[in-house]
Amino acid sequence: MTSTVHTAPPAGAATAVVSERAEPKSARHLPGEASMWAFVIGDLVIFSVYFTIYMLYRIWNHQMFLESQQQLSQTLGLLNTLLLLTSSWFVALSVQLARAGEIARAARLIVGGSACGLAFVVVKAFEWSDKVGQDFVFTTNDFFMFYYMLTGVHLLHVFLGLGILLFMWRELGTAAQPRVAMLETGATYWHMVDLLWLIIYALVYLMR
Amino acid sequence: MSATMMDVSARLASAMPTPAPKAHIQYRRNSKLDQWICFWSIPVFYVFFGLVFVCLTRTMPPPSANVSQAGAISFFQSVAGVTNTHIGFALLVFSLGFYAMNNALVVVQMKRMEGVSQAMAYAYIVVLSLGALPGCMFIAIVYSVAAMRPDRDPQLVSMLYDMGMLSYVGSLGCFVAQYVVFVIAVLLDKRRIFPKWIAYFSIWVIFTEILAGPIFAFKTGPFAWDGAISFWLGTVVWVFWQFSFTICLYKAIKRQPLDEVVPA
Amino acid sequence: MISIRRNKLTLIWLLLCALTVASYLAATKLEGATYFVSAPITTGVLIAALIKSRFVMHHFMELRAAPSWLGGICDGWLVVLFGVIFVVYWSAI
Repeated sequence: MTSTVHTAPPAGAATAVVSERAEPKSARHLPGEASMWAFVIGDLVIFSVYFTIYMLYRIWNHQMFLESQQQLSQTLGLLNTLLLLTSSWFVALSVQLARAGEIARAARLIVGGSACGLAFVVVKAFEWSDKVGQDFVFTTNDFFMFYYMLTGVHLLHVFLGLGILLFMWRELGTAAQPRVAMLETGATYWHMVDLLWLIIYALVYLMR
Repeated sequence: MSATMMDVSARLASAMPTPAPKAHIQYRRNSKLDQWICFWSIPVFYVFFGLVFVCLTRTMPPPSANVSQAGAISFFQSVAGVTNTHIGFALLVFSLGFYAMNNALVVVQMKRMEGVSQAMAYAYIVVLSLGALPGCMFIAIVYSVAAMRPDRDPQLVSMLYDMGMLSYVGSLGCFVAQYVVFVIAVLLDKRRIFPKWIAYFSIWVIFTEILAGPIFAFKTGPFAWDGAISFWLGTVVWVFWQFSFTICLYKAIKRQPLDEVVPA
Repeated sequence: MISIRRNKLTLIWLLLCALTVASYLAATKLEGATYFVSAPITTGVLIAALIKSRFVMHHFMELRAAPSWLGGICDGWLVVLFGVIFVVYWSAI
């Protein structure tokens, strides 16, 4: 379980990398740690079980699911999706910049990504309290059970992700030579969080 | 010791004849024998666990959460069921203490870690000690009580039925702390006593055990105590973790130098 | 200095946002897009989600530069998950 450990080149190295072309086979490298990828794949499989069970319950009670779905705030759902996409964009840029040695900009992007992540949490809290205020709790019916459980376990992943982003920010801020592999590992986790939300959004908010 | 005392004892030592070295029968070629005894208790315990919960007491997989009083009573009162419940849970109560050997082994490995506070190891012990009662012992006692008198008030039997399962499956949340300290310790450890991937695998268990929390609110569906998510997925993930973890523990003990002194 | 504006990641982000908004509009604003089962809307939403997921995995998670077996596993997972979702959904229509 080793990955190529390489540190960022010294600041000022000009790299005109604007796009990532698919690397030739000889230059392929695994982003971050292999064990994080094992974690990601396992987590995706676990969530797939949740999604499958959700789909089965949905088709068993389609009309009720449709009616309950109408109670969700679509605006907040859209906002949250855009927030996470933006935060993922920032984090991906940050890793790219760190690799090129632009540490200060990379650190600012991590802050931006974390801010978007925090905003996601705030919006989610507001969305939930709004629903609870309308007497829709996780025991109201099967749809709301899945709504709270899926978005809830996802939210726990977001919290862990925010902690990981904090460690990444510290790495960029304090280490003399930030370890790119560590940044890649953290970014992989955060992108997984985004990925899971994209699917939850489609299944819980949008699908008819 | 003062100078005078040292003089006296030195003189005494030189005055006594040096005893001949004792003929020592070496029955311990491997000084980690004690750790290995503890280690091999782990599979023995789990076989036991399986026999008790799956075969004897029939509490794994869990009986349905969606039963009436009559259903709860009939679970306890099948003829074979009563005897098996008593035998099974008596065996469990007896053997649960030995599980401490497993936990102690892990704690010793955690104490060997470098760059990690001893607090992690102690937290690990405390959480597992706390969790043992609701997580294992409680259902043993409560279900034995329920099976003990066939003429007990049905309402009470039904309550005991719920109580046992809610504590057995519902206490999974309190083990989350165990995995959290384990993850922190493994990721911080500079000596790499355990590989990083077991820490990441433990994060799966953390999430799936948290999702066993809602069982108090549901009598049917995936989040009931016999539900697809709260019980089945959680159990599958945990079994996978336990296998992987036991292998890591084996390797850690094997790699441990014979003469290493573990901090007190 | 790496440009953010003329960066492939930015282009991908814009594409992801566009697909998201399009799905949102399809699911909420189209005629009949509320209380009724709608296979076309759902199919559109799911395909958009699949495309978005693949973009996130291959560009943000940098699978394009990773060993091809990893990209294969991730693509395989996407196919299986969305396949199951489609099959379950269509079985009830």
